[in-house]
Amino acid sequence: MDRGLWLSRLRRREVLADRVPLVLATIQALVILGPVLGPGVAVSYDMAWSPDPRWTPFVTGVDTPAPRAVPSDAVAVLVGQVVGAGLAQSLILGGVLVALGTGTAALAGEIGGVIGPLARCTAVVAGVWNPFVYERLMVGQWTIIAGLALLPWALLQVVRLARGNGSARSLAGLTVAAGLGGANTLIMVLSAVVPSLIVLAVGRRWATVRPALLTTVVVGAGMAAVWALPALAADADPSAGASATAFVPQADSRLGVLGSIVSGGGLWNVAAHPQARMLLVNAGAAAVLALLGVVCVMSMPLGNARRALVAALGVPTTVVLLSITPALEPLWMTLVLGPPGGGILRDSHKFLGPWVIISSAGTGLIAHAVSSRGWRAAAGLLTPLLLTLPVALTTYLAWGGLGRLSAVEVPADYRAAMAELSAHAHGDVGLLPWSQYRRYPWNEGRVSLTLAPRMMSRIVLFDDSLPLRSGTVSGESVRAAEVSQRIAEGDSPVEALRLVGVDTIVLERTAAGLAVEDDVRRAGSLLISTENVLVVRLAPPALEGARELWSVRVGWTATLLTALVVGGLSAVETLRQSRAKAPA
Amino acid sequence: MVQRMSAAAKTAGSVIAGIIVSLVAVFGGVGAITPGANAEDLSAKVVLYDGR
Repeated sequence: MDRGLWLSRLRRREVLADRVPLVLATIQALVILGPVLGPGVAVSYDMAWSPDPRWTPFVTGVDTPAPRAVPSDAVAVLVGQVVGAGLAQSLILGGVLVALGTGTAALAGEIGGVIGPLARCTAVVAGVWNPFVYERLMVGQWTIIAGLALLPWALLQVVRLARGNGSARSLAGLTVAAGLGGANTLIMVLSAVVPSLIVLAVGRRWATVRPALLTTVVVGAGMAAVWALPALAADADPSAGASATAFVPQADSRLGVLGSIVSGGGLWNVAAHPQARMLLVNAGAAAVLALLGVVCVMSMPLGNARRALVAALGVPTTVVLLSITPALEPLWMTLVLGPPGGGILRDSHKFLGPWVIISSAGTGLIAHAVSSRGWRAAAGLLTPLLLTLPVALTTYLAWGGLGRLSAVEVPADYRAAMAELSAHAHGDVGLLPWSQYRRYPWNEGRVSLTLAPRMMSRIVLFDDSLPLRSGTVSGESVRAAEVSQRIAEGDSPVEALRLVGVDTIVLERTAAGLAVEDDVRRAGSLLISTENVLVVRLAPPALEGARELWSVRVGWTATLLTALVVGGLSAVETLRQSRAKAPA
Repeated sequence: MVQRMSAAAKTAGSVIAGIIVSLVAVFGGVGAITPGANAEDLSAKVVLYDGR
């Protein structure tokens, strides 16, 4: 064959290998999100997505002692103000799933060298079709899936650094992206990247790795400031102690807790567990595939990168194992409750991320090994099987978790009431029913956080405790705890809210909860009364609650500066490189 | 030439067989799902975060 023709065919094959995973990742994101992409917004558990993007005190973290939705909610609002809330949600969720699939394929390619489109596609599929993604998506924790999506890209950079060709700038950019997802996203990435860089640095690659390690830590600290500073400045709630064990992984299969997490599942919230996982063959096959994937990655000729990957996998996985070992419960309680910020470890299941990513990349490498050993007949049978097996085991993820997630239209009267309350600045708002979770009838009765704090540009006082089947986990708000205490002692919810200084009561009428409507109507002058909302102004105007804002301001400043500096330097470097490549 | 075609035919045959087996696995997985998994208890007054 003519050499030019041969090179041209090889080049075309390389381009195909690059593009096919992206196309597949996009298609499977559409298949998974399905009804979520319809008109309106999907509202489920922690994903209380406002249909009207608004800079509320909750979104900016002003109204809570330990902000948990910053800066991720701010990112959603920012994108929503440009393209609309529904499209913003679709783009963000879709982008996260596409990044997760393509990132897993890219990591498999980096580890395995030149691997074909089929092997890359297998990694794309395995990275997304797994119980971890399903269970987190069903409870609306899209920032955890964002952390999972950033992990393969971060691990890819770690592998390159181990081989002497990585870049501190790329890791800084990934750390900024993780920081935009908030505390959980950031800790998922840093808990894998930092240990691996330390291991590389110790292993006589100090000069190469030091800039990346220092940059990652400094950028990580800067991106954490927006939630860490207010949380550290706030008074710690000593009653939160009981919550340390409520969030450890639970068995979602017949394999027990260990088998469940090995196979990628085991979220603490049993409401998210898919029934299909109770079939032994389902969870068992997923566990075997995951184990084979990890073994395959670790048996590759990786050199220094093996130690880095072992650290990236080992440290987070140890956290998971520590949390599920009954004999080590006192140590786990000390770690979570002792040091400032230890609470970030509480939901230990998220540290399963590197296991899911490395095992998924390994599944792609198994497909590559099968197809490249010359076993043509076996390859023809096995590679399509490997490609489709993750889908077969996780079919419940398709089409919004077979309908568990879908976009809905938030009622117009509810949106109008929130807009009206946002337009007239007054004091604080007390939200009833006195619980933060709802089953809105217009949302097909799905469990979700109340939308009000994300839709109303007012300080909203709501019950931030977490009602679980095993009991109630305390929230962080001292004022909310005071209201709960007064209600427990016999005060009406309206009176309890008045005594802590709110001047407006908002009752979400159609949400299941305490029957307090008559109390609310009698409490003051009626401002709004619609099918879904009842708003009453209390008289006389109550005291305004004291708030400490300096930590929020400093936190936002530090995080925005970090993002701007890293983004600016990356832009300058990209421009410089493109000019250098341009023909004279 | 005949030998090359024969090898190609064998590969194509095994790929088709693999796809058929995979499709059976996929639809078997779908069939294993209980439609009412995790049905919500709409009568609950206090909404439990981890309630089924």
